[in-house]
Amino acid sequence: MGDVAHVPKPPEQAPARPSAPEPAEQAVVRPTLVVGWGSELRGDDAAGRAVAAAVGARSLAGVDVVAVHQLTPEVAAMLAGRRHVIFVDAAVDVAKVTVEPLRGEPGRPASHHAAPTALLALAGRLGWEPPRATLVRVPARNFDIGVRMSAVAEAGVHAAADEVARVCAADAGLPDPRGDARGQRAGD
Amino acid sequence: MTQIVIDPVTRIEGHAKITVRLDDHGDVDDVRFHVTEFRGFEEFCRGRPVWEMPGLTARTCGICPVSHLLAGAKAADQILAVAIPPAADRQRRLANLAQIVQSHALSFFHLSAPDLLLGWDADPGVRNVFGLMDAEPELARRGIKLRQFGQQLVETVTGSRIHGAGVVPGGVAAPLERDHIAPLRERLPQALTDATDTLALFTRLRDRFADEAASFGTFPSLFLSHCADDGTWEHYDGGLRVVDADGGLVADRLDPTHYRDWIGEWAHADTYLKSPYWRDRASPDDPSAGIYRVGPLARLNVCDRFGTPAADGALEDFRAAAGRPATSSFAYHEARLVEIVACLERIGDLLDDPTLYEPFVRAEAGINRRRGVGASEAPRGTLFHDYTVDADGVVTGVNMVIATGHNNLAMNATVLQIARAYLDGPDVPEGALNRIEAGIRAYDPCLSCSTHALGEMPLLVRVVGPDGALLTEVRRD
Repeated sequence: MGDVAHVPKPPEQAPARPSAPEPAEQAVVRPTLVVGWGSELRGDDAAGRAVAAAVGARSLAGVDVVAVHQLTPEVAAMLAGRRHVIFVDAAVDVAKVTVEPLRGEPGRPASHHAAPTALLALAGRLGWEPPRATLVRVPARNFDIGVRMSAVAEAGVHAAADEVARVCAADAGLPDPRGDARGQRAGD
Repeated sequence: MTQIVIDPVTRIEGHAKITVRLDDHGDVDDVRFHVTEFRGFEEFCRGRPVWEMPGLTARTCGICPVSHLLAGAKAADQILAVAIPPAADRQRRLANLAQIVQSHALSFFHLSAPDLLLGWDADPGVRNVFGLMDAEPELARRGIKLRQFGQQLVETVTGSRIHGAGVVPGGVAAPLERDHIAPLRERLPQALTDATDTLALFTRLRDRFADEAASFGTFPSLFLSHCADDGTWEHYDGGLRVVDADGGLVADRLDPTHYRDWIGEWAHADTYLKSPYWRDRASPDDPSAGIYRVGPLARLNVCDRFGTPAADGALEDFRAAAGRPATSSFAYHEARLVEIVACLERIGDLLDDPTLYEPFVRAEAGINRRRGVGASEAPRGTLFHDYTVDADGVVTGVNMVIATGHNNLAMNATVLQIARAYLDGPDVPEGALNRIEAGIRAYDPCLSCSTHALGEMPLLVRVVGPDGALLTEVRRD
């Protein structure tokens, strides 16, 4: 079954209110962006950033990586012109790494943090929403103050980094960096 | 006596409530703004090595951590008895200017602009950042880009957008590389254009806000800020200047180390936010006569000039419209925009200063004093960190006077004025609720940093009758 679950894509929804795109930025297709976020002082909450760091260390072609404390409004500007944005976060309600497609949902945007769906909606209003967005959720169990992650989260970080690398390779038309040995995965 | 209680005032940095008391005629008699969350930094930092204090106290806030990094480092500099290298001074200034840009951008574009551009009585469903984006997409983009610019510059200097480790006792952690700065240098002209265009838009809309400008905190007070000896606007170092509501000079070139000589702190039983007051004008039992304001409005009122062309032009225009000194707290909004322009101009000057890139960035020393006071201008106003240590540099005492605290008396007075202008009896219309919130937000207190929905500050307003009985309760979540 593997370490990763793929969540089916939800039914198509009515598009958000059309916005005025920013022509100069939308004309340039920028690399896939991996955004990992979370607090490095709250145990497993650092998982998203740890995945981003692990992906960044692999120096993948055609991939930009960002690790932030929170999804603040200016992160929306980083999405402009991207063909694909992959968000990575810790999650308490998953047993293994979960990969699911995302669409923008306005929700209630925060002044200094937002859910990725709200950030996508914010970006969409300004013509910055990428054509494709994905959320990778890493299983997390402990959010106590501290810099160490649980064994569950540590294992999840490794699996999530592999999965993100696979997705990025597919974006770039490159072979799966893990080779052919893995076989069929759940959700494929 | 009828009492209106707003509890909780949520969607603010921390938690608070507002109590509005009506008299027997149903008119607003008094208003109290209570902060109900206890942070505790002054307690749990005891026992920590002073070298940790900048990093520890930076966790006080996720919006203006650089302010606490700087104040904490400056307090430690005094304890070490060092003069930091010129390159370190430049880096610290650069970080502070960048933080003011991003913080003011967040405050104006995300927190206040929905009210200013969509109207205080607009449908709450659209009076938010999404409504702003639909109505003014280019303005919204400018705001995000300005904040992005400021945050990226903070990250370049301090190592992280939030809670960076690059500011340390004795200086900064590492020299700055020109290559790291070059991309930001290229974006600076556009950032300055975005700021000046936004300021121009606001000044064109000034007349629209006449009613609010007349009722959002128009009362006499002192104004306190750092200021250079020659009267130039100052954000990081030097002496303090105080002016009164008529523009008279009350004090000048004060050494922040002796802040306790002029500033008292009044603790209330019903709030964790102390009320600093100007001692000469007040008594310990009644600090209200010692009311003063800090932050962008105070900095513009206190200084004679910015010393950079676009900002000086904006300052002249600001004073022509708002007066000198400007006494309406509504003018904080424009003051913030003027400061963004000023900060961007100064950032340009610093980035072109070769001293910024020198390799010597930290003075090393042991404990040479038992007490140090660090002060600087946070985006919201003057910030003091006061540490005492033992011979080994272990912290034995901490006092922090936060900008929001300085403005506590003024925020209370502002909410009282707004309540009197817009409340009539026990009913609390949504527009009145929004204006009370906006009155607080004009100060951009740290209390509003944790706003979880832009353009909306959850409030619970309770109206209590003369006998204390609850008459009305209005909640916005």
